[in-house]
Amino acid sequence: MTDYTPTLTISRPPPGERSKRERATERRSTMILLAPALVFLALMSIWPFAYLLYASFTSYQLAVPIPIEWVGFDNFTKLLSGERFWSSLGITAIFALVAVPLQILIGLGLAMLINSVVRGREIYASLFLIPMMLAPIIVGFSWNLFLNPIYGPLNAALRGMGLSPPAWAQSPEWALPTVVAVDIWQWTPLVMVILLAGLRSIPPRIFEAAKVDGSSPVQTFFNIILPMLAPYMVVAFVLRFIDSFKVFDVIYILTRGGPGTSTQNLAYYTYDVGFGRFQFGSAGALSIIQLILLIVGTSLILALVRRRGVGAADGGRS
Amino acid sequence: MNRSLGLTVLRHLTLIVLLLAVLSPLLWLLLTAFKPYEELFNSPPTVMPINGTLVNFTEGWAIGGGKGIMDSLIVSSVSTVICLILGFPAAYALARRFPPHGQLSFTILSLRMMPPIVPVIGFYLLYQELSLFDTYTGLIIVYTFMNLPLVIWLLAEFMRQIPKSYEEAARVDGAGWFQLFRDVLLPLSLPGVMTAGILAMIFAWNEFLFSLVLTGDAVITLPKALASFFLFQQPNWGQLGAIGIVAFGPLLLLSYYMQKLLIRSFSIELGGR
Amino acid sequence: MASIELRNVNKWYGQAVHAVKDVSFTIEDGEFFGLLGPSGSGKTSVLRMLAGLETITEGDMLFDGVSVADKTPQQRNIAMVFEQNALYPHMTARQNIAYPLKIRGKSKAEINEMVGDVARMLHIDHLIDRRASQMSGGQQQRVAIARALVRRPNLLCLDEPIAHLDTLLRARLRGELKRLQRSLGTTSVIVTHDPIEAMTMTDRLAVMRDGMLQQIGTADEIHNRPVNAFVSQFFGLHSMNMFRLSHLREEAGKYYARLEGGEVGVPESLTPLASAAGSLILGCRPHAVEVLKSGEQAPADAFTVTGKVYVAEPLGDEMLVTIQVGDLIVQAFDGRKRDYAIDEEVTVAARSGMLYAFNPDTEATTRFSEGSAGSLKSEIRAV
Repeated sequence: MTDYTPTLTISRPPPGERSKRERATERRSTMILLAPALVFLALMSIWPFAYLLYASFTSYQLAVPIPIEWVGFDNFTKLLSGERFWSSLGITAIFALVAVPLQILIGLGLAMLINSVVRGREIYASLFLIPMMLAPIIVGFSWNLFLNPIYGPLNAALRGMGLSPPAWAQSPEWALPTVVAVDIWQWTPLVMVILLAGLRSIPPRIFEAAKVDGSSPVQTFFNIILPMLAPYMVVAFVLRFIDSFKVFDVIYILTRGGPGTSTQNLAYYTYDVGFGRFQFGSAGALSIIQLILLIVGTSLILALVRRRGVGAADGGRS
Repeated sequence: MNRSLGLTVLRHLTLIVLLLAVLSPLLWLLLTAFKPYEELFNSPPTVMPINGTLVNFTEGWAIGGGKGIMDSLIVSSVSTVICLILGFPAAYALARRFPPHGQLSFTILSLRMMPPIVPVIGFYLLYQELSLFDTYTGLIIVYTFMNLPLVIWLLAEFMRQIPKSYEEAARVDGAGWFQLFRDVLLPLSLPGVMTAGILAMIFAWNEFLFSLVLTGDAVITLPKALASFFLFQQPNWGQLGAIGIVAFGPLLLLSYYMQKLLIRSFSIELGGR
Repeated sequence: MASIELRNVNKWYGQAVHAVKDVSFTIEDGEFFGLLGPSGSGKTSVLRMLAGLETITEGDMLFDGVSVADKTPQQRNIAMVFEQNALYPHMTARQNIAYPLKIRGKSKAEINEMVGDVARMLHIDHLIDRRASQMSGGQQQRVAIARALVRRPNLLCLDEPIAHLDTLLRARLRGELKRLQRSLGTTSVIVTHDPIEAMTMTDRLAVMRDGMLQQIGTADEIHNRPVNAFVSQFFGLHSMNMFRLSHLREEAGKYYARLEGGEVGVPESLTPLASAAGSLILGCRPHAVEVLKSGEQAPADAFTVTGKVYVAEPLGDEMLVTIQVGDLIVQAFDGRKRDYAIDEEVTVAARSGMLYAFNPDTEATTRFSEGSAGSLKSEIRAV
């Protein structure tokens, strides 16, 4: 049999009513299949968003019975010139840029440790996954009880060791590190499973080849494991970066943004303005600012990733 | 030989100690659920319940845990079913008529990435207008909106793995659209439907912000019920723990299934390219 | 059962891919017809258009004289056996076979009877309650064939139905399918890239390349009288040896031409077929040549090429000798089964009567071999 590659002739476009009709039928069935879901999603994104947009340009307040007025960009300028906006932006940034890298670091260690044992990998992975499976509200409760300065077990133990521990979530200096630590506790498991997936994708033969080539464990880690995990780490980072804008429940239960405003991130600030003080104009503007920040931030990261060409990180996820 | 055995033991020991440390706040809450009220505020606290009791479970159910479980069950299961009904045909179209990582899948999935605090104000104002505030319908709509993108995306990924020849066989056999879906596609994608359904259910079950903002006294989901007990100065931790165990404990059984799912899907998503 | 006619059928995928080009042929009622070609030749597209899974971009298709171009697979009443994943995995064999009948609204009793009949016919009674995953590949394909036949189709479409089975099973199912088709008389079309399948099973077959029909005929016709160089090389158990000669010249009543940098002798009877520029393509099947060790005399009026033995493989009664002539590979069967050393110098000789000749520009056949009548049988025996 001869080997040859089929040639694809590129010439005139296909004539014929039949192919046109076929494409029309296919398009129609595609529309019918997609329509219910897409119409629902479009309606539920556009309709509330219209209200949000409208509110953000007015003096919409629920508590005060004043007529609603068009105020243009007032809400935005007031927010951006206020100190509270910038401090809550800073706290959101700490979640995105401090908590997330720490999650990746700890998640990497944990994944490598789990991957290094032969038996019980899946059991360990399942048990370490528990913090992420729990409702954030339960996470908040457990830690609230655990860290209670009076009857909580942690401080009792520390006192027993002769230390004088702080009041954690209730102390102005320690509240922020505490909520960040709880976020790390809750979401490191996600990073861990992503990196476990990455480690599993490295064929064992590569390790054997490295051993035969005389590579030390440290060299193997930096020359083989880390580069091969890079795309997984990027995906973990992007996912966690996006999610860091969502942190709300744990703050609500642990600190209510306090003491003062020391743990108030953008999400909690928005909630407080909207549903604590019922200033929907400002809260709407805050929501829109967050959306813009998230889109810009994610696009920047993706662009950076693409430029560096770290594997398949820009794929279907994110 | 001996050295590697020692290393293995050391690794397991490290993992177990770490695991105990990581899970200690949860274990503490678990123990607290069996403590009578008097023991809750002991200082220094006692680890094991002295007079172990189940009273927290019955009381917790009565003071609102029961209603919370019922309401959460209604809202999360109905929204999950709607997600699957709307999502299944859309996922089929996405899987068969669009490229795997195209613009449409990206747009749909990006809806899922939006922090809930962004749409919640719009939903609140809209619901005031439509009298959907504090209704099951209102919450079901929001949870459907929240989970549908993920359900579509997961189902589409799953359906791409199903060979087209099954559908062609069905066409040759004379099956119409309805028969194709009911007799061939649905049974073949059942594992995917289960996965998507379980995830949607978990997310709706655990969700807090929407239920906090969009409902009042008529609809009280579990997370909201728990949060409202907490407003007391000295919350009854025993009851909180008891409700928490009953309501969220079963989810932990899914943890084994979840890590398998996550590891597999990330391997497929990133490994094959 | 139906006779089928294709009239100038064209298939375009999108704007750029012209997969099937102006294909016309007729399949007689009850005939077993083969579509043979390498991958990308358009044979599968033709089958899928016959089945109604793809629309015909241009042209027409008739079942018993009636156009079916706009009809669904069900309206055409065709059945199809796919290469793989043919059975619904969530149904038992019985449910699989019954499914097309169920859709057609047949009664339970009727379905049971028809399923029972076809299961006995295909010897799958014992598998009838198993799922696809509990059956071997061959058993699955048998059930798939049963599902196709149970509805008494006008046309049975077979898309490489046995290609991924192992050799022994393939040979057995080949025979079974042929026997079944003969006894039922269902008009059938099989797509295959395997010349053996096409030769052994079909009444007539069409060879395709690049979306174009090359030749239609019985296996013997195509084997013995291939219309061009492509068909002659593609069709047959062993590829035909091709010699592209150039610079034909005469010297003292003998003819010589250039081949792979060397010079070879050309029988005088073939020289009129060369082009004005002195080029000529000659072909001969591996069974039609002799291998001569050094010192042996070539027969008179033979075409001879000298090269080195690349490898010699014993195949039962014969030895398949692969000879390298420059970059050209020549294969020859040695019925005497002599031993050959690697790189041994040998001469390949083909009597002029055994040679095919092809037009060097169009590659169309200009001369058929004379002694090829019996060669197909001998080749099949060799496998």
